[in-house]
Amino acid sequence: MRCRLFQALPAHILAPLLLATFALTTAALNYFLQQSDLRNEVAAEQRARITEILSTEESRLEVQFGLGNALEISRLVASLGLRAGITHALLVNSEGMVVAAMSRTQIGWPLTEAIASEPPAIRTGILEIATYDPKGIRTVLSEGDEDGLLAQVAVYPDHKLIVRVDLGPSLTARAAGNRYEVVRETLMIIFGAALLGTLLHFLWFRRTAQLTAAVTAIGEGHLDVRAGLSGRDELARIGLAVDRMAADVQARQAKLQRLSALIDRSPVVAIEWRNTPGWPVSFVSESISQWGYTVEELLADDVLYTELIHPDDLPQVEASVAARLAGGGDEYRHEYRLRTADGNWTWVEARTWLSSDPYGVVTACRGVLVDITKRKRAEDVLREQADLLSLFYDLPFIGMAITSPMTKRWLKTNARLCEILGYPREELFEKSWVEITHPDDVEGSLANYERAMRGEIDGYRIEKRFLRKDGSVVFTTLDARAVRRDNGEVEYFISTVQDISEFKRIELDLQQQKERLERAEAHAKLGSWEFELDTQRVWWSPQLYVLLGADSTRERATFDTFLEHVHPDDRSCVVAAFHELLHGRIVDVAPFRSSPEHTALSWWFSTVAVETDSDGAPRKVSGTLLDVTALKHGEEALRRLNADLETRVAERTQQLEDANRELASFSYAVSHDLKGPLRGIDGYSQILLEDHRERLDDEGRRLLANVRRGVAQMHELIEDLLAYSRIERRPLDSSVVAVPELVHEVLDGLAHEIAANGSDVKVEIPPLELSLDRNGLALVLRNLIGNALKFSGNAAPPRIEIGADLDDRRARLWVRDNGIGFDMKYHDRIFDIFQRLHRAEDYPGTGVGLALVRKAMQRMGGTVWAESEPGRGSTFFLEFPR
Amino acid sequence: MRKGWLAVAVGLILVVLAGCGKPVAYPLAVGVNPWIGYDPLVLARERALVDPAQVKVVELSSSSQIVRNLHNGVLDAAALSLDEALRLAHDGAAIRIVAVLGASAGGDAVLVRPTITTLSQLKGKRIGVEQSAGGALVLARLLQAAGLSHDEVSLLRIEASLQEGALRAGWIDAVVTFEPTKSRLQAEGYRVLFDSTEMPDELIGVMVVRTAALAQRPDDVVALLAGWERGVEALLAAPAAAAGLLAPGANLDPETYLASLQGLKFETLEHSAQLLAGDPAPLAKRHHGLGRLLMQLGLIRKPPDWSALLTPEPALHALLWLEAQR
Repeated sequence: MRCRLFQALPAHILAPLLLATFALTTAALNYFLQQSDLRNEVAAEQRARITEILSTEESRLEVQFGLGNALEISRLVASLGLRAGITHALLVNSEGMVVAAMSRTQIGWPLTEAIASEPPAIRTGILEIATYDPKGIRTVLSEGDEDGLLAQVAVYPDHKLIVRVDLGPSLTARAAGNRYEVVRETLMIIFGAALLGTLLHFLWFRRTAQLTAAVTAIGEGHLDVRAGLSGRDELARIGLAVDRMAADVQARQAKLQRLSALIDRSPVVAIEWRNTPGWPVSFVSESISQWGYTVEELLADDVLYTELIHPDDLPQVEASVAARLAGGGDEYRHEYRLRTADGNWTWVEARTWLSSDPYGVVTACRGVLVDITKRKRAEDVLREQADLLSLFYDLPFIGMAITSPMTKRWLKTNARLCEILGYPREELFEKSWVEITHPDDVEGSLANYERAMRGEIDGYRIEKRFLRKDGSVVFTTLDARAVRRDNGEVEYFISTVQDISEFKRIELDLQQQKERLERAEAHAKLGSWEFELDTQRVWWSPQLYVLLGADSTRERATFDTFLEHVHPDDRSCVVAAFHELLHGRIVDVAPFRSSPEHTALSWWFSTVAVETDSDGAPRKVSGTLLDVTALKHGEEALRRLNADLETRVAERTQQLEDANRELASFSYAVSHDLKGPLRGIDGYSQILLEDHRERLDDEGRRLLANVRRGVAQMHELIEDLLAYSRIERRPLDSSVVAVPELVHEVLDGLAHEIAANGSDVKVEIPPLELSLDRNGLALVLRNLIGNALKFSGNAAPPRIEIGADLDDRRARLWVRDNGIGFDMKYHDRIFDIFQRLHRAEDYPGTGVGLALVRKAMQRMGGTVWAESEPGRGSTFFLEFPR
Repeated sequence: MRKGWLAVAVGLILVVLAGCGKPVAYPLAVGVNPWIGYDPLVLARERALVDPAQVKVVELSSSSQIVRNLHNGVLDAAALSLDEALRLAHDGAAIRIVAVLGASAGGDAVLVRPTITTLSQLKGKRIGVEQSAGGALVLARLLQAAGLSHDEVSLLRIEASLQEGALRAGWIDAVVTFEPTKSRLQAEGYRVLFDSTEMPDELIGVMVVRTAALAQRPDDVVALLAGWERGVEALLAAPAAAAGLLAPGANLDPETYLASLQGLKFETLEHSAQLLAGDPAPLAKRHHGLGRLLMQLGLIRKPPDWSALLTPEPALHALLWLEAQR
């Protein structure tokens, strides 16, 4: 059983396994041998060590005894704790009392009590060694205390020092050392085994595996695989033999494969039938697949070859085979139809020979099958073509004839030709084709005939007229071909004749149409042209030549010719438009002039159209050229009239502007100059009123006060006028203005008036920034809010609302009051200068304010308007574009 | 397939290696000198308040022995006075102070023969003093209080354990010493002329741990500090019982031991952590003068690098551990 297990394992596993087992067994044995003797070795070492220690301590203690230094003695004993392994140290006097110890609790007690708390094994050991006679050093391995080594030394004069050493740590350390040693040795052994294994692997196992793999692969049919073992040992020689065998088999197989491939790829199918009923197939080459069969399908027992032969062909084949079997003859051939795998029929030619056994009994038929379907089909096609040809000959569309080259007589004609020429066939055979040719066309026809006869041409195609039997003329196209003998002589002519009388009539109509068009163009002085982009062909209508003053016989219709006839100054724009046209883009060209070299100066107007193909690419460009000289002259006269008018308007405008400027300058100067005297009047009035008050009676003083009031009013009026005039002249300073802030600024400026009026001012303006003249808007707001304060003074309480809204296009501000309002019929009047709706006594003012507002708004590009109703307050709107 | 077998072999080796990878664990060795201010640690050991598998408390004769063993790597940690710790660090030992253990409040003293009654009488007398900064510090303060200079007294450098004998033998007139020697000498009729109550918080004990031990065995250091805290608690909770247990090892009777405890002040671990934390730590600020004094005495040549020396983390961890245990 075990042997079988070893045989089941491959050598490359078994060998390392045995080596490893050997190595580990050796190591384990070694380890157990070392461990067994460990305790004795350690005990011996510790015995020697403790003897040394105790002999030193004995001397030191005796010195201290001599000095009577009890403290030092107890410390000496206690310090034995420094020594590795010493667990107990007890100095006992002659009375059995412990005088010093490693543990203080033990000091001052009889030995038995001092160690009462120790484990029994230790206690027994210590008590046992304490009973020994104290002479020199004695060491004992305690029986109960396995890890303990006890030692005793006598200390002069009458003390003894008992020490216990714990062998445990030493044993552990030594055991660890042993294990380390064993591991080291084991590793060495394993390393050696591994080395040996590796050597075996390279020398034997690897090559064995290589050989096994090669033989397995060859066995599976991979004949190109080789063992490829090097060396000269047995293994290498086996490998070499295997390789040679594989090469031999491979060569034979290649030969067979070549042969088989040759048959399989040829259109010939090799086949063998058994000579039994139904002729089952016993061999067939792969090339049978050309008919959709696999070899296996045909070799199946239930497939009978006779079932594959077309039922119509089978009796003939069977009869032939039966004859051969009976009468002999080794080789024979058949043509029959064979059913292909997809159910169609294919023609095959079978070449078969019989194979007989030594007794002459036919055992099998062998043969090859060749597909002859194509040949059969070609034969069919030939037959069909012949049928078709005769069909064509009798077609009723075209006249056909065979004529004799010698007599030029009609030898054979079809019905259509007789119909075209208007003769019965028998009469036609009596005539030569020359006799019935229109006299004007005879010469041309004969010339071509002669050339063909001389062998210069094989045939010709001409248009010619025949005279019908009824005397009418028929237009035809005639196509004649010479059929020659081997020596080159013409055997006969085959001709086709087509009646083209109808075409001729249409052609005539077309010609007439063309002439009418040309006449119309001439009347309209309109020329037309066409340009085909792909062929670069240019066509001009005759009228275009006339317009251009070009000679149609001498000058070719090209763009360059056209350009020569265009006025040199206008050529560039014509050229530019033409280039655009070449890319399919139509550009409107203004009327242009003719070149004075060719015609009297004319103006032309052109139109263009582009035709595109199915892909949208420009294909053809066409256009017209119209003589617009008369129109142009009329237009010129109109332009001159217009220019004259414009000059006159400009002159008038300039005159008006000058007058306006002078007026503005005048009003400014007057207003300004008036202020000086006014100040004088006011000043002198004041002096008069102050310095000469006593000399004036009440009436005088009242009149003087009136003078001063009038002067003040006058001053205000002049200031307003100046402001108005400044609005006209002041340059606008456009900047971004935050409207809410500006409104509050203006309200701050009017704070005094608002307070005096007791007005309730409400401002509801969204964050709004406008780009305009800040001072202009401030002036407008000041005036509108001032007016609102003024005219709402009597309301209870006066209320003023300032608001704004805006959209994408405009911003709108308004100032609303609940004052006296006005009738909307005065709406336009209130914005005129010096226009007032109320008496100055009721509502002070100069009548300039709203005029200023309107002027300022106009200058800022905005508008102002108002909505009001008497007694219901007013709203003034300002609108600015955004 | 062969790789599979190799993997099995490697796996076996790893199992064996895992077996031998476990190191032999020795407890953290902590040295203490006879100063009874460190006895809470001894009490913790005796009462098993600290796991002996983690911490081994070893009582040694003197600070110099401790310093030597720390240098040699025999000890992993030690209870030392702050001045000893500073000197040790100055001499190149890689150590950290992980806790402040307590302060001497009368535990260090200058004892004189009964005939000497005033400080001024020390002039021209021979004084025994340990070759330690603590001794030097007490001596310096003594001379300061007495208004004497070093030249006006005669100094004898003498190990702590030998001081008693020297005084009794009459080799010296005064000794700069500490508990338990102080109580023993007092009981014998020697007089305390000067003690550490006059220099509060100047003489303090600290727990020093070797840097390597702190890095490799942080849990053991935490166990050590927790053991100290528990030892202090046990000592303060039942001083008489503790005295009965600890006095024989100090060569004192329990009553004297109890009395000597009065000259000591123990720090709680929490306060200890506060003293060590921060930059500069409160401890460093408080004992800046000690560094200067050590330089004046020529015991160190450059100021101590406090920030490299102090670390409060183990104390904080010990507090957390104790909290978790409760």
